[in-house]
Amino acid sequence: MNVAVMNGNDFEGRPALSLDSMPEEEAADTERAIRPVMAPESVDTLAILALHEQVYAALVGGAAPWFVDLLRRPEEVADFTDRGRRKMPALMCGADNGYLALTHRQIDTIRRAAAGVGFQPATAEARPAAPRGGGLLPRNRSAQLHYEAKGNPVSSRPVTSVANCCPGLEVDFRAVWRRMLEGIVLREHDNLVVDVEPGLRDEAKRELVGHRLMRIRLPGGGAPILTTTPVLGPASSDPAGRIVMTTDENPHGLAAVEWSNALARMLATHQGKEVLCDFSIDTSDALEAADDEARNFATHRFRVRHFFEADSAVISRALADAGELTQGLCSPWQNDYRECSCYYWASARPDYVNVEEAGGGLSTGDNWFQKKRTGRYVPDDYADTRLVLYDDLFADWEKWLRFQVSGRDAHGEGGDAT
Amino acid sequence: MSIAEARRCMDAGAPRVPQAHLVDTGIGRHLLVADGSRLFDADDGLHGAFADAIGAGDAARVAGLLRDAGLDGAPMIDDTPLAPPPVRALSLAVAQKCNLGCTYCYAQQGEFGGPARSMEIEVALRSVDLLLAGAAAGERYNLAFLGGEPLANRPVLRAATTHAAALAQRKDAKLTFSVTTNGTLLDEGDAAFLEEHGFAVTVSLDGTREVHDALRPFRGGRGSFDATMRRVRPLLARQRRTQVSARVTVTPRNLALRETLDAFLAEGFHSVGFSPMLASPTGRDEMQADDLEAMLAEMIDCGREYERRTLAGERYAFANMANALREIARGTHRPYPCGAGYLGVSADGALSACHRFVGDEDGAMGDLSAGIDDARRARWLAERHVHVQQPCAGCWARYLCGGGCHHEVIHRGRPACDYSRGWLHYCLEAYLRLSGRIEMPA
Repeated sequence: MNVAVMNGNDFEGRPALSLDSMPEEEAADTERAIRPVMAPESVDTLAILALHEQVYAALVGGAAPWFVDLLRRPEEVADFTDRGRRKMPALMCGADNGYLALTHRQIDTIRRAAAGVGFQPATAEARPAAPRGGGLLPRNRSAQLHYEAKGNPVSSRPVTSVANCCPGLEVDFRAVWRRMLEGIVLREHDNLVVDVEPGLRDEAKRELVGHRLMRIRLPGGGAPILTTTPVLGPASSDPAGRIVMTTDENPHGLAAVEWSNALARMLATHQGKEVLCDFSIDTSDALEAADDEARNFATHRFRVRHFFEADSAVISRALADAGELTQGLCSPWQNDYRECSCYYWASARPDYVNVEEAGGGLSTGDNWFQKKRTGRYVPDDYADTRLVLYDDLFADWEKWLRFQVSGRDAHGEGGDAT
Repeated sequence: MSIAEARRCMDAGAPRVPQAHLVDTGIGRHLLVADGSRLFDADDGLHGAFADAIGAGDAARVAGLLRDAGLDGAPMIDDTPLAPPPVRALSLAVAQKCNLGCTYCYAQQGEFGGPARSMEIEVALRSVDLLLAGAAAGERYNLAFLGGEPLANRPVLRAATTHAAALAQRKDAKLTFSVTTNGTLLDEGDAAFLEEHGFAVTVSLDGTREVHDALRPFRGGRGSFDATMRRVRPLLARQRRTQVSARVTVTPRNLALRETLDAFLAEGFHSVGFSPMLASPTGRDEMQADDLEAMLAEMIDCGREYERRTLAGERYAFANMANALREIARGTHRPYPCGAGYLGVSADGALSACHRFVGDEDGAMGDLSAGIDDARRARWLAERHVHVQQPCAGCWARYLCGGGCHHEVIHRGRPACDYSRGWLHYCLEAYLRLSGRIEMPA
């Protein structure tokens, strides 16, 4: 990845606002001036890579993961203050233009590891028991690599996957959450109720189409689940301060929280049980958030669906009709692939390749999509004829998508392929 | 550890069906699928169904159970023999002679049944050139020195090493060196040389003094233990790039493995490994069924100590155990017992399947003048594939074992299958115990 471009730096005379990056997406969405995430001079790719290698070496050597506080929490994906934007994972956006966050499970794993190395008793956590019925839990590497959970497609194995899921070449995983609550259909990327299910008898619930599901309360389940998070930016008078960033289209300054993280607690404790859902009083094109004024929301009870079919890894048929998990994908796939520069699927769509030191502490290299390898990076632009164009991908993708080994064109893949 | 424990593992490991094997560790029930050496926890229902089918020796029913569990599909190893791969490792028999008179030596005191001879320097250098001729940047190679006693031809060993190191450096290939020695000829200069080139040094030692001296005397009959240890200790003390390991050939006369292991680890060996004597040229000191049972009991005793020390966070360098656990963790599955990219070179430049086949027509693979005989290698790989070996084709352990050492099998058959399966069964149990109880440190 070309970290300088991702950071929001101007590049060889081209303004950062014309380059596809997270700061550019963020500036467009919040209607504020683009701001690089880190100091522009500090973000050369090789320097950042070296820094990460040192961190990795320290971790492999047994150092504690001291950076738990630097991990972005799932509810911080729209924190566009400098401090918020510098959290990890850095510089990458999801399909919803928020920053990426690890899952609760991943964050908790790192947190536990940090605590475990803090000289607390090394009590081993209980291993999950072998699943009942299906009955197999892989215990060595070959078993894990070839494990195909009952009901999963062949593409669920590492060797057959393209290391991508959201939205991706295999499935748009977001679509799986739309019918988690029996009776209503939600939009995959935010809290809008788009439909009700035919079997829903309750007239008041049938009127919910167009309203917003703002909050879920779990009976006996701790803090309520919020479906939005504020879009925060630095106060113009005080870069260390924080203000809610609003626009005409987003008057409340809210961003949707990604469903799988937002609903994790509900999924853990309330599958098959009823929860209390607070909806906006009116239909609304914009995101809305709940407050504590009873007159500002309407509460309905909904039963949470089971995520899996019993005793298998098959996603419940009630959650997605045939074709629904893939209907949001581009067809042909090249459409999604060409312009997707969210930077989170580097293994399937690299960006900055053949990178070498160029003196002065800076690196040089090629854009993976450059037709001719020149060693001078061409910023991504679907209309730039120096780069692979849509037509090239449609007609001849096997030629243009060149295999990379250790960050370089594989033997026979590089050179002048014009 | 008792003979009873060895018998338990041998009984549990007995071959019943070719596709699967069951393990019960007391803390869980487990299934090893031979295809891919895949290891699973199995719930009681599934384990019970497999136990019934395997107990009845009903391979068809086992196939059905595997199919129902989604564990069927194209086999990971089919009947197609491996095409001869590029040669990435050579061993040079630089000295087909030895100053010891070990009773059981496959090399018959280094001479392989022929006259004593030393490799000429020109043969050694040509061998190195053969190994590294096509080397590309980043590729890994190994050059090994065996004998006889390789240090009996020190100048050639050193010249070949220096030449190979320079050649590898020029080609930016990664070359490692190894030597197997009886240790009696090592001197300070050797220690510095071996350290400089980062040799993996294996010293043949068969036990504590009395036992070792009985099995590994000088040709005149005097014991070699003191001479060996006196010369090896400086090497043990300076291990930085070198790793000095002890290799124990186990005969009916040196079955006290635990005592041997602890004694050698206390001396500072990087690791200690044991190998049963299965085929000696005279038949002398070969292990029989009772001996192998006794050896397994000792191996399990060593293994239990390995488990205990590992859980306590200590290093206990019992090489057989560490290797077995690594292979099980990976799920190693292979149709051969050893690497096919390896050849031995005799003193006169003949190539063979490995260092044991020097002068043996069974394993001849060409020579330095005519080049590597890939037709013979292809035939060898076809004939030695575990699917055409018997009784391997019906054994659950075939892809972990690979069919056993070609040299031993050709000369004595397969007298140690029960031992091997018993050992693997124990190692599977140990792997499941250890991997279930230890959280990897962050």
